[in-house]
Amino acid sequence: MEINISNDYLNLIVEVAVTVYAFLLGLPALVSQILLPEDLRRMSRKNYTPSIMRSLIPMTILLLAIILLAFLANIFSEGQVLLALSAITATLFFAAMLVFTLWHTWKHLALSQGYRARIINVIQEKAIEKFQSQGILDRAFLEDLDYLGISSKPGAETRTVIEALENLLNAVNESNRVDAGNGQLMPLVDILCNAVANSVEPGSFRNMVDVLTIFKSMLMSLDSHTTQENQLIYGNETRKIKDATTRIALAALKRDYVDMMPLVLNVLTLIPRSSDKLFDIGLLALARGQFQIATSALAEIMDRDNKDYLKMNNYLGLAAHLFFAGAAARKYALHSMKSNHIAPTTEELKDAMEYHYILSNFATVDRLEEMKREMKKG
Amino acid sequence: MNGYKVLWIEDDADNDLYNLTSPVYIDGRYQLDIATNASEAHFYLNARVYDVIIVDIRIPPGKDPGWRAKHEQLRSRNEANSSRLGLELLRAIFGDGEQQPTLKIQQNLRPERYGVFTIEGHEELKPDLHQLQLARIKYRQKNAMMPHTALLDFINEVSGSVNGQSN
Repeated sequence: MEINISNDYLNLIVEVAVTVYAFLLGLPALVSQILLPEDLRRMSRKNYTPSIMRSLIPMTILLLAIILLAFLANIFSEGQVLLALSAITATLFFAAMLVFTLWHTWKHLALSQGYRARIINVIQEKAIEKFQSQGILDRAFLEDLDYLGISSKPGAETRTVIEALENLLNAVNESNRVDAGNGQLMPLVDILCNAVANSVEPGSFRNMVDVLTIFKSMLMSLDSHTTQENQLIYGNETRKIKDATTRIALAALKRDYVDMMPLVLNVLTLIPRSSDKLFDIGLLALARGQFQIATSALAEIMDRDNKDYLKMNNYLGLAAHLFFAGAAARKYALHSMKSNHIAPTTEELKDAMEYHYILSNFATVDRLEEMKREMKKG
Repeated sequence: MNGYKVLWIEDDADNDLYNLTSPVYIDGRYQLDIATNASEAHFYLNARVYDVIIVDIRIPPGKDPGWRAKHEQLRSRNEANSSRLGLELLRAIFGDGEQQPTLKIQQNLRPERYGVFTIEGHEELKPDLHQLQLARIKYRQKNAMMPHTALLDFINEVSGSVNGQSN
């Protein structure tokens, strides 16, 4: 069989291959401009494009191979066999390039919805890698996760960030490289909280529950590792979780996610000295007419408050609000005090008023004053 | 300070069944902790001392790797009962005749201070409870028609059996 092929064929393949390659290089930028929201564009530009562009390496190798074949064929243009072999090989390489192009285009266009997850996954892997090699949680990666958490839509998008943070947390816990209590986990608590309570869009119920459940397991771990010498459960992580839980609870109450409150109370009961936060939640619940939550909060304050240096101040403050929230609520407030054997003295009420005055809880101070007068009247 | 310390192990306690807790709080005699899975129950049992423990039979494993492994093991053996980790919790606390207790818990409560509050019928549970030598453990069935005071009534029943006894 006579082989009838010229260098032109190879040169044509090189030209088309270069065009295809240029298209592929520009594809991520095109997708980024057209399909990606601002937060992902920023992340792509910032750090993570190289990881995604790495997939172009095989394409580059194929292109270079085609150019090399064309170059050799042009130099040794007399050898028909060499020309034919080069043409066949270049055609195969070009076919591979086309297949790769189709796959790459499909991945970028059809799976552009998964782009966020891919970027989050890249950040998570880099953060874990750095932690495993250097024993520190890199702030830069955490800030990126924080940014993505805040700007993600509620539901599946935010869920991806939460999962990444949970994986990071698990990696830290499993490594034993970070002593719990040294503050390294605190940014994770903040980011988890921001993703659901500080997001640009209202957080979803499910994600809030997931974050609270993570907090609960962190608290259990801190409690389990608490010793006489190392009182982890009284440390900064616990304080941070307490604040974050309250922020989530207040955000949830504003969105009428009342069903979440039992879990919130459940988390707070694991935290020593949380009566101030139980007071805040009880008060907001009362303002929104959620008496079940308010009474649960009052009961929990009583159960925990004796362990607090805050003594009865928060309990009496919330009881005073219940006292003036209607006849039935007053009945419960009195019943609660009676069943807990509390008959507040003038001195105790004065302490409570001073405590709430310093915190600018002026409405509570007024309620306590009124309750004192009412109780005096009998 | 409220009298009896109660642990309620129930996965729906902080959502669907939360209404059952309200009468307990209003009653004022009990300090209630809630564990929503086996890992949390394990934690509470190790960390705190209780007078009454109410256990659901079908509970999820939670985040503890040990309970997750146990759940997987049960699932690979018999899918229908893989979520009966409440039973496994009782087995870990009391042993089962052949096996010694594996859970080192703070309290050493007698079976009378435990109650099983579950959706499963008593007859269905009897063989397992018998194997655990807990045939006489107090039992109450959850159902859609139960009153809002069902939990409080059951806690009253279980704690009533320990009234007058020292903790």
